[in-house]
Amino acid sequence: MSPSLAPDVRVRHSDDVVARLIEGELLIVPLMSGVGDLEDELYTLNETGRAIWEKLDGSRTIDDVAREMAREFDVAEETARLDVANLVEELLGRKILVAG
Amino acid sequence: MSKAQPPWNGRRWFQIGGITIQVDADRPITSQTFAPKFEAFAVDGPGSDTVFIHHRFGLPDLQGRNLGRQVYRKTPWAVFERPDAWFYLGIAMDPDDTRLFAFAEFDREHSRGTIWSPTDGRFVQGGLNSLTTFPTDQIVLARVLADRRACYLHSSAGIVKGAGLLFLGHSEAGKSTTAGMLDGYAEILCDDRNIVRRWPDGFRVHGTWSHGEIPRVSAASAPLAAIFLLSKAEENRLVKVTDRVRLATVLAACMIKPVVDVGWWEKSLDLIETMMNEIPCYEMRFDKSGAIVPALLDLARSFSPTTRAEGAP
Repeated sequence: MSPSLAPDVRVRHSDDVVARLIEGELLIVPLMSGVGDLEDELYTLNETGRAIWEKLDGSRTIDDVAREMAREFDVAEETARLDVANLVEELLGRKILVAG
Repeated sequence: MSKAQPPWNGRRWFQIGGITIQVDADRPITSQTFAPKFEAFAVDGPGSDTVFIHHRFGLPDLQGRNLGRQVYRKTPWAVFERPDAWFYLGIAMDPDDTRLFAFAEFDREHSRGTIWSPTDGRFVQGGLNSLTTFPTDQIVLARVLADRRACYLHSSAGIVKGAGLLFLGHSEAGKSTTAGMLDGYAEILCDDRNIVRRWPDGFRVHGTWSHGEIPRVSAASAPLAAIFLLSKAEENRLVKVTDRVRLATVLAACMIKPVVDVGWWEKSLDLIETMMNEIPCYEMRFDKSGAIVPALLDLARSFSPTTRAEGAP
């Protein structure tokens, strides 16, 4: 688990993003950005990232999500914890996720 | 009112993307009021789909006025939303400076708006670069377009043999370079912003007045035959884009946004998906030699432009 993210943290999707599934990947666009055109503000999640995203509904802890991911994708729990934590940290930084 | 001054005070109409904009003002509008680039878009009267703008001078007193909730604040704009209206406040760079530099009120659909400037100085001086007197008209029109299955794209575009070609890219991607290379082969619509609209019979690309390095603009439109993602390279060839996620990302990134809400993005993403399904897309790998032009002309010739889209201008 990322040292800056407690395993019992709950996060959820920000109300200020719109997500659209395209060819199995999730395109996430922010609402709260400058008027004009987007540069690096778009974010896409692949199938695994999307599976994590769908579980981040504010009801589960980060640890819960990691355990479910480990089971569903047949990977070590520690690996899943690290991947989930890294993704959550990045999405929190981009304000795509907020505290649940 | 004197007989010399007609009641409409020099009302003007301009048509862009199939939408007519009627401009009124509390001062006379003359042929010099707006920059010459607008001349190509001037029309004689309102159309079936008209947006109304009225300019007033002297800022209103907003004390006690219910502007609703603030949805955006970044110099030079603070934007407020109410269930029935939008309010745009021109604000200072310095957050401690509370002076108001402009104020505009639009109805929910942005189909009718009143814009207040502090004085009539700029308006009377003339040569305005936007119909709204905002830094750009796109902040208003991008919202109007979304309700009509249309959007502004950061792009250059031209019409070759009746086929509309759209070249997508951000600053320095080569939009003006491409327009320059096609000069003489294509009717250039605009080298920086174009409108793509889904009419009942298909997509059309429409020119806009928001040009880049090349000031020549056209109000014409044509069936959209192909989209090209600009990619500077040491070769000249067209490569079909099959990665739809990449394409969606580029289209979304090149879309010009108003003050957005969920509804605007949902409509715009629907439009992007329809565009990806209906319009072929190529990566245009090119250098500045112009050697890519024959490939573009060949491609344009291979399209058989559909008949004029129903309802399209």
